[in-house]
Amino acid sequence: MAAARRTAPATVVLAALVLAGTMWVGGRSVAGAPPLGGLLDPVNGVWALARRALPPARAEAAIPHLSAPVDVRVDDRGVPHIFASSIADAARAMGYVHARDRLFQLEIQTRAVAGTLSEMVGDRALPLDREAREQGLADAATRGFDRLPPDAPARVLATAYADGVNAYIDAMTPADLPFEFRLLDARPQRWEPKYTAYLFARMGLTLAYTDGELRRAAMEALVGHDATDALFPRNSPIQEPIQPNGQHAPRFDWQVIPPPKPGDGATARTALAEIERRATLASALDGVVDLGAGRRALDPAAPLGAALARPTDDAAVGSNNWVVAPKRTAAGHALLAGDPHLSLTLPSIWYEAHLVVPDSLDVYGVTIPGAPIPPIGFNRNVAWTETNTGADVADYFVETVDDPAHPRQYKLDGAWKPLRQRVEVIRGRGGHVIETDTVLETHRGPMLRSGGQWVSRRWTVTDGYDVMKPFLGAARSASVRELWAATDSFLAPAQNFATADRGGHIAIRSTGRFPIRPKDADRGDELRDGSRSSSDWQAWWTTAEYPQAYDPPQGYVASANQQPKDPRVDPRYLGWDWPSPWRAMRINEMLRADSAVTPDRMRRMQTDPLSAETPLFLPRFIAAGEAGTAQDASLATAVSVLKEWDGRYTSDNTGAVLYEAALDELTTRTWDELVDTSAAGRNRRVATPEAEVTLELMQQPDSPWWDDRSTPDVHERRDDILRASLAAAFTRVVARLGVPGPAWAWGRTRHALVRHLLGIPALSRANVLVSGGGPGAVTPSAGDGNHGASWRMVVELGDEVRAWGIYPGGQSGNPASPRYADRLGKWSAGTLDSLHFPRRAQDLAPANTSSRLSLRGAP
Amino acid sequence: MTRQLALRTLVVTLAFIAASLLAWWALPVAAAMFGALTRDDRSGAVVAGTAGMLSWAVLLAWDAWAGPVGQVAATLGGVLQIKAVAVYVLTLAFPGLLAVCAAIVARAVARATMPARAPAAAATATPPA
Repeated sequence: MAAARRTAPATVVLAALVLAGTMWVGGRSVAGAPPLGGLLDPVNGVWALARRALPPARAEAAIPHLSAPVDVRVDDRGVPHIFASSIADAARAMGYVHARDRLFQLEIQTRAVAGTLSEMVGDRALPLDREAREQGLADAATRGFDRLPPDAPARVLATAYADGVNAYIDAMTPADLPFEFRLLDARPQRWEPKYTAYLFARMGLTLAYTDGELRRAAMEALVGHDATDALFPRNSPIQEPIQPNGQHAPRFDWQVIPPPKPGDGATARTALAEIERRATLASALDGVVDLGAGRRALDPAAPLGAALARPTDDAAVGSNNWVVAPKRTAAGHALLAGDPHLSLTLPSIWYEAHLVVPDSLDVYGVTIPGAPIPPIGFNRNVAWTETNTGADVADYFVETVDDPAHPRQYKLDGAWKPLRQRVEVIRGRGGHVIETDTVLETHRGPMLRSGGQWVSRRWTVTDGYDVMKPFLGAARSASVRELWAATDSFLAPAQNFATADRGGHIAIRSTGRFPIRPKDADRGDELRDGSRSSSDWQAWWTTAEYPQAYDPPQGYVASANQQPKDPRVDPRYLGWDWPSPWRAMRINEMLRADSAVTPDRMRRMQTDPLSAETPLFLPRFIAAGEAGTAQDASLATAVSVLKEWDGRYTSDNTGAVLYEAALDELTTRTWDELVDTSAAGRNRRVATPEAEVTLELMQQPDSPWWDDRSTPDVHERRDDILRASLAAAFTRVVARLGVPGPAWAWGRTRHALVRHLLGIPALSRANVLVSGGGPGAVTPSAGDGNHGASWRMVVELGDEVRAWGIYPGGQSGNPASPRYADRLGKWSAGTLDSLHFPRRAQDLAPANTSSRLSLRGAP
Repeated sequence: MTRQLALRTLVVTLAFIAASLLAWWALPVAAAMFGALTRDDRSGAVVAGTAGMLSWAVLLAWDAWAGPVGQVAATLGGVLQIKAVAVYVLTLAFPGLLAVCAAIVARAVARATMPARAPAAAATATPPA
């Protein structure tokens, strides 16, 4: 045989170049894409996700410090039922299971709080990290955790939980790496017990962060102090409080809204810039980090939905809960409904789990990955669920500093005090330092530069406390009274706990640390004088003073983020600018009307398509519109559409679109004084009052607020603006959707958008139809669809507790898993799953068992 | 010759599977070794490339047996903004390209630096014409 021919040199060179290039893109991240070799590798790369789509039918694992074997049975809904012999072991198992199903979520939410996202995703996360460091949540959580005694539940359970998380991380093979880590070419960090405290600090940021003082400053600069007070009242003009006030219908406390007085626009712009900066960061933190895919790209319907949204739509979110006493239920058992609303994400913030420790714990609920005990759930005797109280628990103090450019001291009661300096080092990928920042703090909290002055913040969320104690106590309680005693130690973020027990008792209580301010400055919505210690908070509301009701005579009680206490009952300041009471009004209306409530009725109430707001506005639009129909044929058509509308926000309804557009126009035109029209102001809207304030203004048909500033020669009155709003809305909707008809279906404008934590469209679910809901309905839908019912639950406290629930997502964080988003369809339809609640492992029928995990102690 | 070529491709495929179980970069290393060993054989690069693709195809089939690879392809395709089928093509083309190029380069280097094989040895590596 003759020797083979020599390969042409050019071919060899070309092959060498291609080989080098292929190896390069195989091993290195190029142009933001992950290394292709590790990604496409069918053994350990992304394809391995297919092999990990579901847990194996039988598996074993070892966890350090486990005192006895733990049996984990995963049911046919992907819910783990953890049977352990001690609560700490149950926490270890919970950590292991969370890590197995939601490891990336654990990582990203921790980094978001710690301000270490840049270490994972690079410089693009620098603004987020900078903001997180400035907020100081991780620092406060760490200090709070370090102060805990060794036997504090938060320390014991968080340490045990960390054992479980780290056992999983340590035993991981490359094939187990979650999808997102592969995309980011990153590896999970080991879990520290203090990260559980980070999680609750982050919940505080989501639920109890307010910048009211800055917003008020911007408002006052434009329209004056008195008008600002009226537009953003500390007491809702419609009283339907959480704590029943003995009335059987909402009370309308209409006040006269003073006319606007021009103020200092420069102050408004400074304050507004600060608000906008924070709002941008807050929304970015919501999605943690966006790899370049904006919300609009995610949802083709978003522009339409946003176009028909009201300026106040960001407030069209909220949570609901209610409980019904046995005397008003069909079966004679207490009923509870939970419906917390949050950002809708994939994976969901919630993870269902059932933890059983004989004679100690038997709790089912939704956990948050990062913590072992469910904050919402039920046991064999009690059920509980929360809504956000929204109390003002953050105040801002204007500080006097020694050197405004480089402050080192601040003045307090005439003496200079040193500022605490917290040096924050932000690192990038690879660990190199990309920024070093020094955050200054007074005894109240971190200082920030705002409007040319130094302002410090006092915030209950950064106080630090044993976050596990109240939830563990709730999980172990046997009655509503016991649950109340257990949650006495719950401090922040303040929550409205609705509870019911098998003894037939129902209750609600707004629980949290509510500050008592000095008598001469008892408002928390204004900047405070930081130079004197007498400006500081004086004490806390006692638990007896909390808004609450235990077995109220009316036989039911509900919360929907409305003002908790009637100011006629307790006039003390608790907060301001409360969300509109429409949901609370509608829920109470339904509960008043039904004296034989069933679990299914509770479920249907959660997606009720009516709004208590509509009957208050709709007749006014119709009446004002009818006065102009003779001159305007399109206005006549608009009026007829509204007259035919049944007030329902269902996906096929064709009247809601026009009503919402009209209300949007009305809000925009009425509150045009709140737009900074100066050149520097760039026509930015400083703030928009809630709809009930617009309704309040309806009582003053000649108020100067109705006047349209763009028509200086004409003085408009209320009905002029109502009519013009309806006409403009009709024109707008026709331009977008065509003539009135099926194209006006509400479902075309409002969808749910369930965003992946990184905002990646392919991992998100856009255009999810929702069965019912509008801005004022029990299921409010915001314009971008990214907020909504994050968990719906109904519990019947009968001889045997029965429960139903659903959340928009799935138990698995693996996008290839059939459990990644398997519940979206049912959630969208407004149905609930029946929840398995076995007492013993063997009580979970084999047909309802999808896998088993046996955990044992590691040497 | 065809049967021997097929057999050789099969053996190399198995070797590449074993290498891939170690790490993805072990495949071009194995292909380079194969290229050097078959420096007197013009078909070595083609065999290496074919075996490269086949080895990952087999491993992919194993993944498909164990779980929903279609969902993985759709998800990754969505993230990279390419069609799912392109993810499969990319996954098979990547090892093929690595193996072909590694074999060509290794063969050239081997021919330049190592003595030609004895005819008898070559005969065992190359089927008779």
